[in-house]
Amino acid sequence: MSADLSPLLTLDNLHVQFRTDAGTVRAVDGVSYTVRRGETLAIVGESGCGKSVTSMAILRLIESQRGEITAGSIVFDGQELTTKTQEEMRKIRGNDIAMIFQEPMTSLNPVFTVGQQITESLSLHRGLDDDEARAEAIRLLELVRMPAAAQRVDEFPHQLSGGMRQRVMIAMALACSPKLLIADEPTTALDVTVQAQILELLAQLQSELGMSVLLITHDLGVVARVAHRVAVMYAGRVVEQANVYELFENPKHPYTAGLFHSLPHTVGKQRLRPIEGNVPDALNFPSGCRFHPRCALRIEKCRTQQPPEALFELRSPAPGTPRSADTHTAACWVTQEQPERDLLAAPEERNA
Amino acid sequence: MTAALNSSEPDAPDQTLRASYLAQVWQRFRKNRIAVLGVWCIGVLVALAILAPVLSGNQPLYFRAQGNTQFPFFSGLFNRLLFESGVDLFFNLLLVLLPLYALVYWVIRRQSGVHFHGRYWRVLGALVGFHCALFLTASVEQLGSIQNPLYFTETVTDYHALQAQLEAQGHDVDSVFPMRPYSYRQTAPLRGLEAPSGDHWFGTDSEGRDVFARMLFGTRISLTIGVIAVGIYVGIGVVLGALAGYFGGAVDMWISRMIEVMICFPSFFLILTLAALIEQRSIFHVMIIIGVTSWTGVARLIRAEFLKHKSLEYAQAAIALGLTQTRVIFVHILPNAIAPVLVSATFGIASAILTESALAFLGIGDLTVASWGETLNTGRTQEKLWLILVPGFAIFFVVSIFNLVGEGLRDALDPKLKT
Repeated sequence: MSADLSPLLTLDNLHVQFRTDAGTVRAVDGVSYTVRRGETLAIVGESGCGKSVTSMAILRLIESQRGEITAGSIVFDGQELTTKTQEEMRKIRGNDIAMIFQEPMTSLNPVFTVGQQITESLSLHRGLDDDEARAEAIRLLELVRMPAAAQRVDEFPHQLSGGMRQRVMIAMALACSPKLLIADEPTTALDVTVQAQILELLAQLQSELGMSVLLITHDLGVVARVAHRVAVMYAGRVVEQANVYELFENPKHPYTAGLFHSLPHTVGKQRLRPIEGNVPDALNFPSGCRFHPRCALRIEKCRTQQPPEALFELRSPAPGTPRSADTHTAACWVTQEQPERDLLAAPEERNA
Repeated sequence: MTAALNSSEPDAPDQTLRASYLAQVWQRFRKNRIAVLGVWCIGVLVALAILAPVLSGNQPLYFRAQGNTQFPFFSGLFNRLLFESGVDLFFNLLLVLLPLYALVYWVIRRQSGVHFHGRYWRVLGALVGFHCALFLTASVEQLGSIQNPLYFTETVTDYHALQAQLEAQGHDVDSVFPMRPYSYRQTAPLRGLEAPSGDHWFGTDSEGRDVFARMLFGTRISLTIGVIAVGIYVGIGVVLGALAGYFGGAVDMWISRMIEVMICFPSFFLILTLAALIEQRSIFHVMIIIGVTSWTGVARLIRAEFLKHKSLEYAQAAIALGLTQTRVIFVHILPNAIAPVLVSATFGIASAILTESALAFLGIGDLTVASWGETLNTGRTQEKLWLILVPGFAIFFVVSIFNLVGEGLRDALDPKLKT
């Protein structure tokens, strides 16, 4: 991680709503987090917790899908994004903030060659002419370790494998050297071996180019591999934030702990303990702590009052980060009352 | 490194599929023999339309008498007395300039080498644009104080008579005439309604004009009608459908209601009424009327396609790259959404030709052009069999051809349809 820890992107109390026939869906309900320069922040959560919507809101792409930012602010590189016009946002998209999507099979346009898709953004944001753009496209494909880049540049997406397509997506995203790369489940649709390669590539490119990455995923393995810091989201809110070591060693929210319990273990004989129940319906979230209907530790207070995000003592500080910048917060009444409680302990112990 | 990466990516790309989407469609299309035959027939029709003056006309390509060499054919191509309709001006210009266009295309193709495929389309588009601009310039009668030279009153020399006269005087005359010696507008009041013979292959109509020549030049009218009318309504339909599908909401509501209102009118009677309202009908009025009344089908097709495609990730990715909405709609989504429209446009050409013939048959077309329907109408009023059979067969043939090609295109674009 680079030494410069000034914030690049700061979300403050962001609310996003969608109007549907059934009612208003509060997909994002008061989310705050910060992405610092040169760091990878992973956003983790189940499907439907609002993690993708948040990233779409950063690029202001939700307006075209009948979504609306109702409150809060998004400050990127000193500029407030929520008040910008779509035309001003268009100049930021692809140029300062780029995005890669989940499905490499469908996120490339089938009628254009790989080269045409990469050069489009080059001629748009950097004003390169045909030949310069083509040379740059080949250089970018080489940067993302595309084998035989000079030939691949003239091929169509259907001629490439999934992993190669995701490399092309990354090349397109890197075309204008963005300050922030939003990767929305970049490896979910890929084979495990290819997944590892793509993650490796992302990590390498990040340190080479010094950009920040906002990684959206539900895969804790991916988080452990590439993230510096992690924010866990549940039902439209951030429930816990910490550096990656701290979060894996010392989770302070029962939902985070539940995610770890649902992972298979390679050592010892433990049954998987999935989190009971389902993600609540976004049309009517439970009162108080939104996780309380599924939480084994719930107390009376959880039912009625929303827990604030509270600071916890750091057990595993991130190497090379000043303590002032390395915080652990979680929104849970139980752990705030019993900060020493170990949520990763085996169930017998916990009941005792 | 490269080799290692290549072997470790499990689903390596299929090297046999080195082709664009269009090339793949063409590969499937080629398997349908009848449709390919149809494409050849359309090619022949286009060639006939362009070469019509060479096949039938009264101006010699080459005329040499008394040591004086002339090429009256070429100046005749732009003589307003020989060719009145704008359609002829367009095709005659094309006849003269086609070798030049082919040369330009070939040179650019040679020079750009293995560059992006888009360049060929750009060159083709530029050539078509240039030709249309040239045609439009040539059609303007007066620009400021400059009079269009094509509009100067010119005389038409009867070279057949001249040759006969010179030969009678004992001069040596060397000449090359078009294949048939009749212009499609040349009337011969004394030779009206002649039956087909070696001289007039398809006979003559009530004003003594050669029906073979009129059939040939009618090909130009029919093809132009088909292409322009369909071009107009595909243009309107694509823009409205794309806006409705992409933006949704109030835009979609208004456009969809507009489509529904338009669909309520029985289209042929609407066309008939509109055509009857225009006093000085030209063939272009007919094209425009057919164009502005038939866009609803295309608009609905495109709207449905856009509804599907706008939420696909490539469209979202294009927006996330910072492209303008116009570019996302027309450059990224449209090529993916246009396939069903191509099929319906091919059928549309056939139906536009049929509609124009029906209008001309009912006497509400443009009476100055050599339209097949107009000859058919003469045949009906004069009760002459060849005046009905010949244009009737021509219309049947062209409409069938376009329908066969449309069918082949539909199968090629949607491989799932084939069982």
